[in-house]
Amino acid sequence: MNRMSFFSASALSVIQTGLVILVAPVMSGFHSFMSARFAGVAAPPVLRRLYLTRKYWSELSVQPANVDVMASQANVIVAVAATSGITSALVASALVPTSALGLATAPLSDILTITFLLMASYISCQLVLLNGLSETAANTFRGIISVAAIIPVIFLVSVIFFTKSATTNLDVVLSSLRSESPFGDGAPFVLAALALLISGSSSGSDEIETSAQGTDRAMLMLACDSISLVWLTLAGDLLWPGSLVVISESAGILDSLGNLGLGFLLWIVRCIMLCIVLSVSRLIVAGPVAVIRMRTTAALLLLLFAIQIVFGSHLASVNSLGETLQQEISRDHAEGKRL
Amino acid sequence: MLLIVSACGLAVAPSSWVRLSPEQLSLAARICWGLVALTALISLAWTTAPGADFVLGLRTGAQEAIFLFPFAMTGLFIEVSDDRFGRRVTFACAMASLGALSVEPWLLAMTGAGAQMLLFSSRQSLFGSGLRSLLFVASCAPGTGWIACIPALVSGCAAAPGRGAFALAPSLEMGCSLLVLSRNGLHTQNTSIRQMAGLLLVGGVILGITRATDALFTRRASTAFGGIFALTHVLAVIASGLYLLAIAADSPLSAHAALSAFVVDLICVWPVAIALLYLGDHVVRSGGSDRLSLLGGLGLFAPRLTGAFAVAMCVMALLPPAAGFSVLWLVVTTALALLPEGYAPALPSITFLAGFGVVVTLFCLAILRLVILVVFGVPRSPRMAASTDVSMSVMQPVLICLFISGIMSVFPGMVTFQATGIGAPFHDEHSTIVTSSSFVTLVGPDGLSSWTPIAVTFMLAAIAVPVVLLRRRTPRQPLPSSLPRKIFPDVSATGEMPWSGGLKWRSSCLPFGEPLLWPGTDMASAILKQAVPALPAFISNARSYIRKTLFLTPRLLRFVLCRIHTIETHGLAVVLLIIAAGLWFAALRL
Repeated sequence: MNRMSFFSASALSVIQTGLVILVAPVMSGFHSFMSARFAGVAAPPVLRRLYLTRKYWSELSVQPANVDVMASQANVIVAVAATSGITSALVASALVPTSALGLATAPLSDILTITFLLMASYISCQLVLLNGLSETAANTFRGIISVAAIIPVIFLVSVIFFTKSATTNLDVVLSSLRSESPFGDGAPFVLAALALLISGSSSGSDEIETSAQGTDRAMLMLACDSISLVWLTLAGDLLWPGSLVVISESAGILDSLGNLGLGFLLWIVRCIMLCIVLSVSRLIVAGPVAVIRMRTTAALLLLLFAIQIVFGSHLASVNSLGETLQQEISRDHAEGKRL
Repeated sequence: MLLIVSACGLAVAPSSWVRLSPEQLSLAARICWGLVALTALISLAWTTAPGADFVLGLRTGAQEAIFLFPFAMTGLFIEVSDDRFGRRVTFACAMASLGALSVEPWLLAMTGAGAQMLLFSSRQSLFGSGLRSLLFVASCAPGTGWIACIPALVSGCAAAPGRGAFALAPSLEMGCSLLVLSRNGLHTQNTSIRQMAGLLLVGGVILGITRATDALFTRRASTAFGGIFALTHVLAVIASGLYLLAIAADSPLSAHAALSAFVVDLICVWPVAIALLYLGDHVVRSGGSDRLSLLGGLGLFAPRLTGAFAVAMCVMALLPPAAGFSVLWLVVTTALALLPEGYAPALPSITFLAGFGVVVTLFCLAILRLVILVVFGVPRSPRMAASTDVSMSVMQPVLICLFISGIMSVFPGMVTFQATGIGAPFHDEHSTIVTSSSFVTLVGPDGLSSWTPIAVTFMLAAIAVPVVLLRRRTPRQPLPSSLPRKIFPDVSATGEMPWSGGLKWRSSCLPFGEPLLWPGTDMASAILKQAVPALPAFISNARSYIRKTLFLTPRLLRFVLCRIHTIETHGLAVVLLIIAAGLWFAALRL
């Protein structure tokens, strides 16, 4: 990578992180809007989340007087949780390619790193509720159990990555997938994307917002929205890797800017489509425990199916290669006999 | 060696001889152990040096230093001034350190067994501890590949922390078992190396699930801390299994990655786990009870202890960018690199990865549950409200451990570079490939995957600094120092209830008791039992299933079982002793 492309890749990483900060509240608002519309209840405005985040950001975080030790402890936990949650979520968002491949963070974009950062961010955001009363803490812990079940899913996803591209680096895998059809060789990754979407797309609870105030509240909201958006982006990348742009392939600056704009547009479209899918899936009425079971079971079954397809297609490609070699050998023999 | 002897001497010497107070004696012993650990780290740098041989079969080389370091860090935590148990554990630590330096099998057997015997804490656990020591001795014989795997699994399953200085006992026992595994198990020329790898991998996953479930469902704080400590042992056992599998598959890069995971675990994660055991003992002391239902709200009364506890838990939760995640990443990439061709041959590896994921999940949940029950909320007992924070002298070894782990986790290449020291006999030809990796980046066996902790740390810091600066908050108003600190400001202190600021309580007037205001100890287990359909039937009805099975067995078998039962534990101990001796002699003959 020469100096110019390195700077452009670094600038693109920064722009991407900034766009995630801007788009995440809007996408979360759209998700809430669509869920409400499908459920037949009054829908909140799409930009409500963005407005609230901006409003709370400008407010002061309340620092209670030192006489109330309980409030002081809760305040410390909120401050630590908000900072670590937003930090981990934004770092994860910088590692996932949204519109273009070959970012400056491409060597770091390991699937294990990204998903564990997202999980750390999610747990940090939930710490505020875990410090709450019994019912809230129990419900939150149930949600964490549901999200923690993603770890075996991630390991199985990495099996698919490794079988296909011999690495767990997301950038390399997506580069190799760009030319493949989602109904052909890319089918296992479509299933893996669905598994990630099912198991990782738990939206932030509204109770988080009420348990913090001021800038902390805005940061927690932004962290939850960023986590959801990064999961959507990750699933969307695996579903449709052809929509990602490679910067080095562009002929000129104008060409690359146009491609980047198209890439960002396709990223938004992908996320909107996946939001609609998630909103529809929320129509399934089930208890919290049944939801945990369904999500985990569905994700694991999808991945097992994907692994079977990966090995089957791999075997089929090996067999076809063998047949081709056999034909070439027999043709050579025939030509040799003829000579 | 001189430093180890000095540390022992300081532990034994009465204060009248050396004219030092007990605190100064303890500090001097800690300095000695710290120097031993430093020496081990420095000697790790000379991987290519042959190592100096001493008398009595002792040797200092990279391979020996890898195990000397965790044992010396364990010694750093011992408070000699406590009681006579502190001196016993100091001796055990010194013997384990000599075992790490020993080359001769008989010396390793003697020192290791001596260390384990010094850690016998109670008569109730004497039989089990003695059996584990015998197994350790049996596995010290050269060429005992299979038998060397058994102590590692058994000690990981059974070792539990005690009170006071014995809280550190699992570190020494599990460390000794890993030592003998690395000496006899990993360097074996056995033909059944693949089966040994399978045993270690399956045993490691089962061990992990057992200990994590134990830590998740227990009502005792010490059991929970011991279970979470076992995570480091589980990672080491699994890394050893992967190493053997890589040797069997003739893949030197995968073998190096597995050994790197083993070494990073021992050098970076193990000291933090020891610090966690130490902090756990202080949490129990501070709370005045070992029952988790009586703890809670530690952050209110002991902020220093809580801070160190939270940092140690972050490392143990295997989240990036801490060293725990480096071990996890290396283990997963090694397992992926060893994935065979074809669906059916790869199915065991895929099952192992899924099982390993379950282990990591359960440990994460156990850590989170412990944090909720100990740190969050309000105290569940008046005794907890009277707990005090630890002093800086107590915190010193914890801070040293966290500092070393932090530095080593940022530069993992400094540690993985040493992995060639252990496995040198197996990949001499590829040592140039192996040692060419960067100091700041871990490269997977595939050559394409990489993990750079320093880059992620830098990115986290680059985002965290502006976030902290932008966070707007009201200025803190300093309190006058004369004002006492109140836990419950609306309740005034009385003479009857002085301990919790005058908190008054009354008998329940509700028909079903008072509502539970804070999450109980059974929260995690209740939710897990709900979510996993197999768990309730398995755990709560296991006893009835066993009884039913026994009743359905033929009468003759029942009669024989009853007869065996009458022999009682002494007879069984004799039988097991004979078996261990037989294994020892059989191994010697082989």
